[in-house]
Amino acid sequence: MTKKSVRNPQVLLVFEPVLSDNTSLERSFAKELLTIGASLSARVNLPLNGLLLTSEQVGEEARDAFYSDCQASGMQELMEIGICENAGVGSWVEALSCAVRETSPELILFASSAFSSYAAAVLAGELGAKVHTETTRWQIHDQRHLYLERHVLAGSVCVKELAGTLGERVDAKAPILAVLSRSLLLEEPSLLEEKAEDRLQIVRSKWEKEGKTIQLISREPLLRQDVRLEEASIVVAGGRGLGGPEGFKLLKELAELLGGEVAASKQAVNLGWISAEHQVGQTGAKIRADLYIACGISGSIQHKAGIRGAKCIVAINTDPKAAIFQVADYGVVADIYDVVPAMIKKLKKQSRR
Amino acid sequence: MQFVVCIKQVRDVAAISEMLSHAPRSVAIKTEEMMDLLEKTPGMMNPEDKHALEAALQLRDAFGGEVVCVSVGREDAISALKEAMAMGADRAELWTTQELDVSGSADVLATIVKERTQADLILCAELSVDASTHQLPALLASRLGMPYLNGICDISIEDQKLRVRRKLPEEIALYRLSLPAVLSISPHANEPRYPSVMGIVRFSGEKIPAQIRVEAAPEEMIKGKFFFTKTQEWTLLDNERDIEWIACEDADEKADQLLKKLNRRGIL
Repeated sequence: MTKKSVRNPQVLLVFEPVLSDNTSLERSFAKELLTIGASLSARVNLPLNGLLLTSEQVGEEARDAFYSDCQASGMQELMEIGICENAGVGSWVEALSCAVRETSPELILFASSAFSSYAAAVLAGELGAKVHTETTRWQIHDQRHLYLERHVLAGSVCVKELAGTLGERVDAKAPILAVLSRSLLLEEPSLLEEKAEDRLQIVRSKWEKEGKTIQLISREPLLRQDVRLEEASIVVAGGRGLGGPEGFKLLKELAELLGGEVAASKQAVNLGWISAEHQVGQTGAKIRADLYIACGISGSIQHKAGIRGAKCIVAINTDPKAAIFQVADYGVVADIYDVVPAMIKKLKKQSRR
Repeated sequence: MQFVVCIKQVRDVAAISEMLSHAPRSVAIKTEEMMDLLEKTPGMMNPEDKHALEAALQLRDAFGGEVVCVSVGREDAISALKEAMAMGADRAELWTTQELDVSGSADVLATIVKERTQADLILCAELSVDASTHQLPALLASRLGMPYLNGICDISIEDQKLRVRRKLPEEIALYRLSLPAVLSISPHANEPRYPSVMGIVRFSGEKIPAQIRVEAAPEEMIKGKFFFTKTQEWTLLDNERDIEWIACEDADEKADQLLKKLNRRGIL
């Protein structure tokens, strides 16, 4: 059961663990999280602290840049916990949970990722709290009431609710936990340029225990060529309208000419035409690209939920009534096998010139 | 062994979006209107739950035992449970309530598991397509004092230990967990089976089959844990864009026009 401890009024930022193979502080929105943490904690007049799990292999340069961002945010204390890479996520979340229990913050903020979505949920269970998932906006009323917004029903409706009142949660309820969505993280301009007074303390410790109930057997190295759809600036995606797996060869050619990645709808993945890591949608990758080209995708609500973040959407489909056209900036009513080869031909001609 | 699967009757999100399609955008909606709208929307089994159910059915077929579905929510969840039975589950427990928030749902499900099952392994979906809070399995696991892991693609059981493969964008790894445990199943783990014809015949119709036990959740358990609260404000999101049609005769011209427009916008 949750032990009720006296709470230290503070806002705690939990950063993505830094491991040797797949995470860098830059890619994991550390700076954006600091920016929001700084302005939120200032609004409610609470100290800002941070928690970073890290393995030894992080480069000094990246670490120094991170420390100076922490400093600029006005952070008071950064807990840096050395973790064992081959202990696995069970051990890491135990390290996190142990540190959070010691500091007992009022508000814990995460930046959206697969790790934070898992860690926040496990932590919430232990603390008798719940997580405000994929927060799209925050507001403070009367300097203490925290309101959070998020999208529900596959992105058709936004709900704003009172997450809690800050500054008076001492010895009372569990902390407020919120995972900030990527769109929110990218929205707020960085305010970290002004140098705040340097009062940052870094407290280092180590956590080398194996997971109590969840033990890592082995990890497979993530390959560089693994698809990173959420970070791609151009994405060419195919759906059931391609008619078969060979259609993706054509899309790959187009994507390569544009310097982009190939993606797919859930239907195309379910049909076995392309592997699952290419899937876009509510249960797949959330696209934030400058350009998304949807080829032969009808546009289910779950698919549309995954492409809302794209700056420009082109839809190519033979059916002018396809739902994908509702969210498209440019619509082409045509057969993929006519238009895409024509685009490839033109792009090849351009690049020769 | 007993494999327990959490099943949620969700609102049909596509139907809601269809119903909302003519309403003015970016306009506030009262909570009562939102409740009313959800009341009118048809329900369906959370599609992601089918991956958890499929995993459970495969484990039962490999290791023996039974598959028990547990659910909390409105009475129309019976239809989701009938579908689960038609897919091959052995029995189901539904405790009826109004729409609960995620911690309320976890409380009720944990009680069902404790009082009505002897769960060795509890399987859940990664998310529900309507509320999508991504945390029910973790909250449930903490209430039951069981370990929890997500993103699971493969499960094997040896000597009362689980060996699972976890596949997420940032990690592909093998883990060992002790039983009992809670796992959420990746949507890429399997291809859920269709209900069998025999199953559909057996479990369709008005009658609640004997394998599905329905009871009301105790009032004191759900007090203050409702999904709808007084502090909520709802707004319809405007996701539609103004489309520009590339309306030329032949494919070459269309390709040319499109690329020129993208060039002019500075995208290419």
